Amino acid sequence: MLMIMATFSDEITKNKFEQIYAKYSRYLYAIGLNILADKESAEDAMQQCFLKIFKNIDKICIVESQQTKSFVSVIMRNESINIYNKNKAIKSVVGPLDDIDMDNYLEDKSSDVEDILARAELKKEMHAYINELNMDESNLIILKYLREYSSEEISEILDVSQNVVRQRLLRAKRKLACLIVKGKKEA
Amino acid sequence: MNNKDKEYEKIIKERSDSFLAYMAKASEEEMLEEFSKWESELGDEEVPKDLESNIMKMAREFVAKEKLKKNKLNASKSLKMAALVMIIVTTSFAVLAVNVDAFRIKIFDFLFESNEDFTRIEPVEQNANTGEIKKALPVEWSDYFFPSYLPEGYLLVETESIANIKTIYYQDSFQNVLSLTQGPADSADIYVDNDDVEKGEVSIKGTPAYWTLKHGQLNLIWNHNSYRLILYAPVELEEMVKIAENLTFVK
Repeated sequence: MLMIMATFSDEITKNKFEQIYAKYSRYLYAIGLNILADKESAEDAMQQCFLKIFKNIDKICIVESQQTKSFVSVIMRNESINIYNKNKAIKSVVGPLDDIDMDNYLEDKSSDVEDILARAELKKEMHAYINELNMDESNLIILKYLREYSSEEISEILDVSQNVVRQRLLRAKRKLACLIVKGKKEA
Repeated sequence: MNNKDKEYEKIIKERSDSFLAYMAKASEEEMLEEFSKWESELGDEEVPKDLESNIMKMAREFVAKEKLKKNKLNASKSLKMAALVMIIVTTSFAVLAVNVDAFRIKIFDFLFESNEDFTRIEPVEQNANTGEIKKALPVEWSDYFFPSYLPEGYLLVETESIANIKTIYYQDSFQNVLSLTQGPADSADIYVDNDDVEKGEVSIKGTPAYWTLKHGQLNLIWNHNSYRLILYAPVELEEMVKIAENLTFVK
């Protein structure tokens, strides 16, 4: 009976995976081509992306949904960044404000960061801050605060350690807090 | 930190998380909008045709590896349990067995009888055949058994050697794993988990062998000359016996 159940479950997974490929392969290929500007690298990123999707297929409930589209997008963007960094042999894809001197704006305390973010007013110009996050940071914030995955799940999805997840999340939060303080000072 | 401070910190954390959720939502919308634009700009560009088959093959290989890993873990658990039982029995009763006849009889009864939890496997001598299969297996291996007959579709995927125990793994296209484990017959007694299993005895060319069936996985254990052999696969008993009767000995 268990054998039958296992086979049945394998079949469902296979069908779901094929559906995901049929629905998103062209979309994901476009992401790879735009980030990597190279067909071969885009194909490598696609292979890694789909392997990651397969490993995390239980996290996908409905194939045709914004949640799934976002999920596969984040994975593809992450895999493309990894390949880009490997090809260029640099540490990371950096955003325009990665070299910002955060210490000019923030005390080195996580409670300050939480405090600033908690008091931030939601304004239209806040959207501009999103562009200041690099792709890694954006991926993490989406997975953590919108999709509410745990650090452990994020580490599985992005294939990095939980420590790295926590450090990068903290850095992204500090960066946002820094931008908010900077924006207020300039206003 | 008093309760008021804790409460305040909790509120700050919740508000901060709400803000980040808002930013994440906005970030996701921008990302999806941009990526959809990229897709529409792709024009006539097609996803390479062979990419799909490569990806599906990769997924199949991943499933196969995971299944193999799981089966190896199960096999390893059984062997560990056998070793553990052996150690417990030996250390608990060794001293008493040497000195007290009555207790020795009791121990031997315990070891030789099939009880509620374990069945002991007795070593039995038998002659072996020889063959030429060396190419497929590690060059450093010698004196081992190799199946001359396998059910359709099974291919050799991995070998493993721990101390004097050798295991050969085969897999079919449905990721079913068949393994042959072999080691010295006198190295230790083997105790088979009897909990929630079907079990029985069968003859391999006149040699008694013991089988257990649990969750569709059949285990067949017997001794051949000075070797103990264990076959493990999701096949019928008849098929398993056929595999066992067609082992080739490689010097």
